[in-house]
Amino acid sequence: MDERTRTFLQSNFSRYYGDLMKTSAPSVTTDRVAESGMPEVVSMESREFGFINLEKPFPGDVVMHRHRAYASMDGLFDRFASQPPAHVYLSAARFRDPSARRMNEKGWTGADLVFDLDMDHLREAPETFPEMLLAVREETVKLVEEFLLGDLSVPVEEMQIAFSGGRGYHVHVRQEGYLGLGSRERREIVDYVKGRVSPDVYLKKGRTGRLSPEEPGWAGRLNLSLGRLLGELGDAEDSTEAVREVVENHSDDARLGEKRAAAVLESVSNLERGYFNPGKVTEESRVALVKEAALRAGADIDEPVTSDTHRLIRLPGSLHGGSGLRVTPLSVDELRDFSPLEDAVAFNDDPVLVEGKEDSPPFLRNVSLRGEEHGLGQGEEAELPRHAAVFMALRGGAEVK
Amino acid sequence: MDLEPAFLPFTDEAKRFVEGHGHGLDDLIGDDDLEPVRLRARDRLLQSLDGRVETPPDLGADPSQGAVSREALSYPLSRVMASCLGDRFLLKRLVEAEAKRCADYVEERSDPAEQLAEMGIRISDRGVDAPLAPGDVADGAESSIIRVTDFLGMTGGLPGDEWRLVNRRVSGGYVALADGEPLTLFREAARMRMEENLPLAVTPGICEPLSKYLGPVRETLDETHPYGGELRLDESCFPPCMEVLIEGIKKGEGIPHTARFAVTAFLRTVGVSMDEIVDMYDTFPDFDEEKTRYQVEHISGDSSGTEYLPPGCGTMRTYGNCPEQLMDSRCRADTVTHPLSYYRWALRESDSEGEHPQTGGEKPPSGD
Repeated sequence: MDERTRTFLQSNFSRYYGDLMKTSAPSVTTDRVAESGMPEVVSMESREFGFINLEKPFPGDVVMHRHRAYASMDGLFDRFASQPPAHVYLSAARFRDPSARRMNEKGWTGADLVFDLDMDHLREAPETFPEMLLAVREETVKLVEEFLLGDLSVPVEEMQIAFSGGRGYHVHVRQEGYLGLGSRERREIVDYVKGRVSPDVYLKKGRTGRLSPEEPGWAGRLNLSLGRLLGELGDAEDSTEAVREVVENHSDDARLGEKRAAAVLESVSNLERGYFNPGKVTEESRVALVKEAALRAGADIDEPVTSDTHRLIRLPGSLHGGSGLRVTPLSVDELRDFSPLEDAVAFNDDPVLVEGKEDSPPFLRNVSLRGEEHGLGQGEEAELPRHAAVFMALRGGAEVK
Repeated sequence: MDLEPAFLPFTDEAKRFVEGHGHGLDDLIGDDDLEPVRLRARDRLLQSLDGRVETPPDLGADPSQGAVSREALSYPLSRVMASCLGDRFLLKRLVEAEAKRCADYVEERSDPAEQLAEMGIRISDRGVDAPLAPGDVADGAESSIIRVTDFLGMTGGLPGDEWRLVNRRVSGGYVALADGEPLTLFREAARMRMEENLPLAVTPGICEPLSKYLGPVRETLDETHPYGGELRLDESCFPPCMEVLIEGIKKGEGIPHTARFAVTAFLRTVGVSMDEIVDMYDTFPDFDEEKTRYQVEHISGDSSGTEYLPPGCGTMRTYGNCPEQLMDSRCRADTVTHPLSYYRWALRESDSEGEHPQTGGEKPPSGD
């Protein structure tokens, strides 16, 4: 990155944070947050902040400046004004002394429960970038609606959703009871959300094993998911093969023939009454199908982030220094039809003269932002809207002329 | 006569009762009149190692004030004694046995929900605060519900798939409890409460005068738990995860930082020397002995003051360091939640095999 480009980025980031300071609305209604400035940080004084600056060596071997603490949002804005950061992080944890340099001196008092959904961690990721963005959004909607607002009944005002500015979404839960949970307890929440059920418990005969669609929690969800799974397998061109594939994916049971596959598919009629007991099918096959149904109904979160009680997470409302997109705070409604490549764009369309770098990777020769395609060949000079110029420069595809 | 100070010794009420006697630790250790308290404290430890704290006969029907006092005072003293021995196995057995006794008392004469409420954990009658789904109400088998977060806080130590949140009926932020489960939760909460602050900070000045009571406990402990807190080193008993990772390290394969940490902490805990561990890493292309030694020392607590235990199975799994395809029957057992619990179990089994002379190795049994 040459100096002219660096200065260009610094002044643009600076202007973004300067405007924020003027417009930031501390109290926004919970249903319209995307357009507001930077949401007030909950329990500001007990958070640790971390920064990566736009100065050299960025974007090379960057240094994270950690252990920063601010008593108020004003203090944070002053930091932005004096040195616009490329990336800003805040701790999920709350500390008695967030600026202490060693973890055991900080005095951990609790941590938000954080979920990270990232297109790189999807179990079955689609191929194209826009499809992946949609898939990861759907996983986030599932997490929020089914699990957080649903089973766990977390009040919507104790939850913060944000587009990460990159390839996914973050959800912060700040309800009192969750703050003190340790890693082990958080891992159980991970297992819950991902659907790592013990099939035996749900297949056991008798009361507790009944898979009635009316059942709360995973029993009811499994029933519906099994129904969808069996429906889908039944519609497949070669149903026997489709059933066998699922079973073999989760077990060593390779004995499933045509008759048994048919029995599996027919068992959908018993599901409504709360039973999953296809005739003559081995226990292993049933377990395999339940596992698959559970994973499909679960939300595909990135596990280590949630179980870690000491993570730093991007600050909602800040800019992502790898894309120039805004780490956009979202209400549940806004999340449902959020389109990052349009709605997270933080800069205007003023034309900026740029030159495609000689070593720019192929995926950067074409960028689609705010519904417009921008092409930039290697060594080619062109005028791009400011947001696209920032994006290209940060990704290493262009220098500003 | 209020029996709770005698039977639920961890409660605030029992604490106040003990304090009301005005006996400090010095009295408990040295006052001649309090010899029965010391004997009872010793017995609590001995009985814990046997699996249950018995109720002395004079605490049966209509116990005397003296019997209740002796019982209540012996509880804090037994914790001091156990701390003098400082053995983790003993401390664990002590709180487990004490919690079991508390639960037996509550089952017979009190109500688990009421006792949990006193500890700040509310179990509600179903339907009052947050009704579960209709299917559940019709069912009628559950009598109560508990907040998800409280449930998680209390069930981590309970083995069995049925205690995992993902296998429970969850609705409205609550978990449904079947009959009998509130009592189990009470036992767990009591155990955790009693586990807090253990081992206590004790000094030779406290422990030496108690040595005549500690002797028999030490002996029983050595019989029950042959390693006396220390683990014997036997590589053939290592769990599959450690075998695979060590193999990888020896071959110089790219092993993630989390795995190196786990292996190092594990090897230190089971007694492998610092030098041997440092040597093991010299297969790495970027091996720097100075740096490696510093890191190994840090994990062992020699330089940091904190002795790191290797991570449990859950964490190993989270970071992809559990070779799930190599798990054996021990790994899958409910009681094995940690590479060290696997190792202890394997050691015990290899010991009992060792008792047969034909597999005992080179040394013939001495003494006849």
